[in-house]
Amino acid sequence: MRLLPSLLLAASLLPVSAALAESDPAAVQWLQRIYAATQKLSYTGTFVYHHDNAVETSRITRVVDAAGPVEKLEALDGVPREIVRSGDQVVCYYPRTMTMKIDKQSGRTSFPVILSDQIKELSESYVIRTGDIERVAGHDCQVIVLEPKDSLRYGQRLCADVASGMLLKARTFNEKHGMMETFAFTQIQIGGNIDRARVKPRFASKSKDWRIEDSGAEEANLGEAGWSVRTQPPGFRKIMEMTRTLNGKSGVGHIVFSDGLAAVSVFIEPPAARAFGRHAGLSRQGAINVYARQVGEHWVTVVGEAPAESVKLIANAVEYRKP
Amino acid sequence: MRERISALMDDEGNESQLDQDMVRLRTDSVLRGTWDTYHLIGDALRGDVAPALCARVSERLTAEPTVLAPRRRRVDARVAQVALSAAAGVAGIALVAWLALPQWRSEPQMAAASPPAVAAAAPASPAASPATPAAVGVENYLLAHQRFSHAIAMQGVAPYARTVADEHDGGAE
Repeated sequence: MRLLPSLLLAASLLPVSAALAESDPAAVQWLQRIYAATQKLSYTGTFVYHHDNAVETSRITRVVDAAGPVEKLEALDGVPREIVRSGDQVVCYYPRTMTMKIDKQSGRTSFPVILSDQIKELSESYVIRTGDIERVAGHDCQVIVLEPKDSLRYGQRLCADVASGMLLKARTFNEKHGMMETFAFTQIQIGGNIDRARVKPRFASKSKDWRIEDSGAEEANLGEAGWSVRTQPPGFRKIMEMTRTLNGKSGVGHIVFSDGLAAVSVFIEPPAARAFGRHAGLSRQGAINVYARQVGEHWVTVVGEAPAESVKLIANAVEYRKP
Repeated sequence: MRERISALMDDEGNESQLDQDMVRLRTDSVLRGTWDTYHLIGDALRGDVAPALCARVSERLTAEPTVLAPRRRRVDARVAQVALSAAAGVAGIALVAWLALPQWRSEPQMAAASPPAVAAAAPASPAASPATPAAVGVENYLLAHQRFSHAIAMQGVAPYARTVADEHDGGAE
């Protein structure tokens, strides 16, 4: 009888090891190194977000100390904006319209927690391998490629600092290896003494009279309300279900699917809640595809860093049955 | 006859037909017109057109009414561009169908599902989904979605730059 549990264990490990077999263990280790570096490093630098025919520059600073990590992203082009993330809260400052948007996520899975399990999950949908050593923002970095095993997800080409594991460049590509979007540091200081004042929102003192939009996100069971997503692309599984306030209307359903790398969000808005000016159908920004359709009186919007095919597949699988 | 005028101009005319051609040129006003036009083209190509003539042509052009036709949308041009590069592959028939059916235009991914041979031949281009309209007004959705992206675990707050990229000023609603 002692044999049975170990047999079961062996059987459950088989598909995982088979999936891992195609990926380079050194590349998987590099991924773990990137995740760890993102958690523990302090840094400050300038990076560009390149998508479609646009390039946007931002300054990004992260400080980790006894008080916990705080990150600030500051848009350097166009409309001034700041986004500050600390703990499980994200606050966006819009000085031009004097608005503050707060997204606080309480609950157990507020952030994607990266465990070695999830890297195994990744290997089921992607072949992970290492590439050459390149140079980004003056740092030698290791190329790691996540090649999708089907056309239902995009690939990623990452470039991580050899010395620290810090991710310096990430390019998303489609099945034709065409670039969908790129995040890349052009200058960065990793570690060293970074003043905590640099992650303070510049508008904190002025924002007292600003309009506040709180997402009020809360875990919820949308199935009880009659909503279900019949099917999803292979490799994607549901990771979160909640309600939130969106576009000024409360009670918007939000379901999240992920394949371990790409995430797809389903938003279900009650009648009359949809932002005016939006249309049914497909639209895109960089690697983000958006597909909107009406289900009865409700408006379903699916947003994800996945090919249009996957986003549409999920959108068309959303179903409502009166409970 | 036009080939023969052209040959005459280049001194390549058939000797035996020369006299006959000259007679026709003298008598046929349409052929004379062609002869004159060909010479004008030749002069223009060599840059020998008289300044006075250039000025007259310019005047005529200025006097012409401007045609206010709607410009073809840029999207169409990009569709055509992708069609050209992809048509070099084997998916020609599929593409013709794709272009012929307007309702398919918003889904260029259909074309992307072509065999790997095409994928290899097509140049890597950022206009991978050229006919898909740009996402506008999605900032609030992106803001809510972003924290669940696993990219966050690797890139920290950087992917939030996507919400900044949406030109629509989210605070204005």
